[in-house]
Amino acid sequence: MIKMNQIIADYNSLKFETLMSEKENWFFDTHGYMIVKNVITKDEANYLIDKFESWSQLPEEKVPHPLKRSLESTVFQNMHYVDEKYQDLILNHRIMKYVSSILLHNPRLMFSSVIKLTKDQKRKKHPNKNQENKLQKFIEDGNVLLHRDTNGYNYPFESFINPLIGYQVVNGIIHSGYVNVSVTLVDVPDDHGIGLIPGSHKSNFNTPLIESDDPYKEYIQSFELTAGDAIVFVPNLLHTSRKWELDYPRYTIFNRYVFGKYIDEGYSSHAFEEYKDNINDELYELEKKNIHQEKKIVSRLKNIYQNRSNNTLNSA
Amino acid sequence: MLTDFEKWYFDLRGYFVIKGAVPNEDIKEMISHAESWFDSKNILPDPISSNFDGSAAKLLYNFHYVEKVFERLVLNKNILRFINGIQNGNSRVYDVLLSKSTQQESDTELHSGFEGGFQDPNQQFIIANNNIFASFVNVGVSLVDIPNHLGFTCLPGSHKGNFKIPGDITLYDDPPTVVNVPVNAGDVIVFTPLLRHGARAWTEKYARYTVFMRFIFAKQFHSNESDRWPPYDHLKENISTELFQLESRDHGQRDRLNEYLKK
Repeated sequence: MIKMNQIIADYNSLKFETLMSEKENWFFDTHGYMIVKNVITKDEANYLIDKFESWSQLPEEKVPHPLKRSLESTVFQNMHYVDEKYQDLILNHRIMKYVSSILLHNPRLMFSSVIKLTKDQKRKKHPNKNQENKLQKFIEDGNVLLHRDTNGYNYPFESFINPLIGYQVVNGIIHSGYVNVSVTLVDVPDDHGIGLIPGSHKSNFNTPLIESDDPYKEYIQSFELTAGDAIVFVPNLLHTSRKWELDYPRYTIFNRYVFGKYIDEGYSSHAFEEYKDNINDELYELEKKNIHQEKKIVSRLKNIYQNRSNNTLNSA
Repeated sequence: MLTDFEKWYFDLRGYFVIKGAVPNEDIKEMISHAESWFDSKNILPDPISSNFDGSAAKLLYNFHYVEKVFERLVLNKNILRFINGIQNGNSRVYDVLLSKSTQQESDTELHSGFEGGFQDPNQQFIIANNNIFASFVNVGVSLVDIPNHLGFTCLPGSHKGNFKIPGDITLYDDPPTVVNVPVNAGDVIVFTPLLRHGARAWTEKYARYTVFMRFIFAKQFHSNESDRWPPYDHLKENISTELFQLESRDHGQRDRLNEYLKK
């Protein structure tokens, strides 16, 4: 008898085990997001805000490399190369438990940024002037502009699964090529902050023009958050940022993680080889593509969560 | 047949509300009949039958063979346009019942919900060619105004779930996991039975009256043995040919129904 079989790569996900519970799987699959409470303390959040403000005050030539600052000092990137607390947040195991599971234990940090928003601040303009005029009019009329995060390309129908980003579930395993993590550094009332349409990550139809007397009551879910809370969500989820009307500024850390097995897809790398000594080995590796072995952070997560699960089983 | 918005919404949530689908005068007439029948102490016009044993509601059947206003409801084009829109233009009504709930009745526990795996062909929810096909659809027509915190309750999106639904979710949990769907008299809720749903216990002083209808794809075989599969030849004379055809499996004889729907 002649047998046929296929060659299996040495490094693969064939024995994949999620670190998420059955209940968490259900919630994330149904809604497309997960709230993780208190990943840092209020004091830690204030420390990160203070760092932001201190960097804002610096003259351009004094801004430590490779920290990148926007013109109005409302956005910073690469903070983890100059401050350890920002580094810790990227590697936070309570967040990474979800990120790693959704990325089939092949996580890679794509970028890390922190954004400041004040109540009188204008939104970032669209580079196309005609498009910008339309969007501006739409928003000025009191309408809500939703979006999905893309890699700069829109498929003919939204139901196409973008191989780099798309959300899918096969045989009880969730996978999305991108995972967004937003961590608030200030308290956010439930009528501010991120607004999203639960379940829209699994939409099978193009998003129509939606008309509603009260879109935030009928469609959009937003959250009362305290400083240090995180939202993990898939970029396919329709989302928006609600108008910030409070007297204090909103500071949000926004980290994106991607499936580490893919090639770079055109975005400029946010890893800085010349500053590798500024970050620890786990984070250095997390910024790299995943070639042939499990990353250190995944092993650490498995130690924490699989051991915890085994201990629970043993004690039961 | 469905608008882009209707398809998007039904796919997202698993239900859709058709506002003001039934005329007010018909609602009033239906309430009047309902009050009379539920108070009739078992003397019901033939062939109406009843089941008052349930804990959540008292039920009547076959009333659309007795009063034309209920026949008009089953043939309501606002409803049939939507149902045909998700059943490939070929729907069959196989169950019509009138329910009454008062403060004496209990809630209807959450039930159904898709948890991944193969779909039952008799309860499919699938998408192809930019259209929905749901082989089984429930319709609830409210004859009274329902306060915002009562009535039809569901887990939006649970018709497309991939995991076991947590057992500790209750009818009284908060959005976005559990939502209560507010409707007024004459509004219609269309939902796939794959959606996890139920109804909160009725707490108002007035009774809740709802007409429930179940529609299936008219070409499919019967999913189970039952003595309640229409059409009933002995009741054929009580109803229009259009309704008789809507109650029948489609084997190419639905000319009158199709003409009616085209008008």
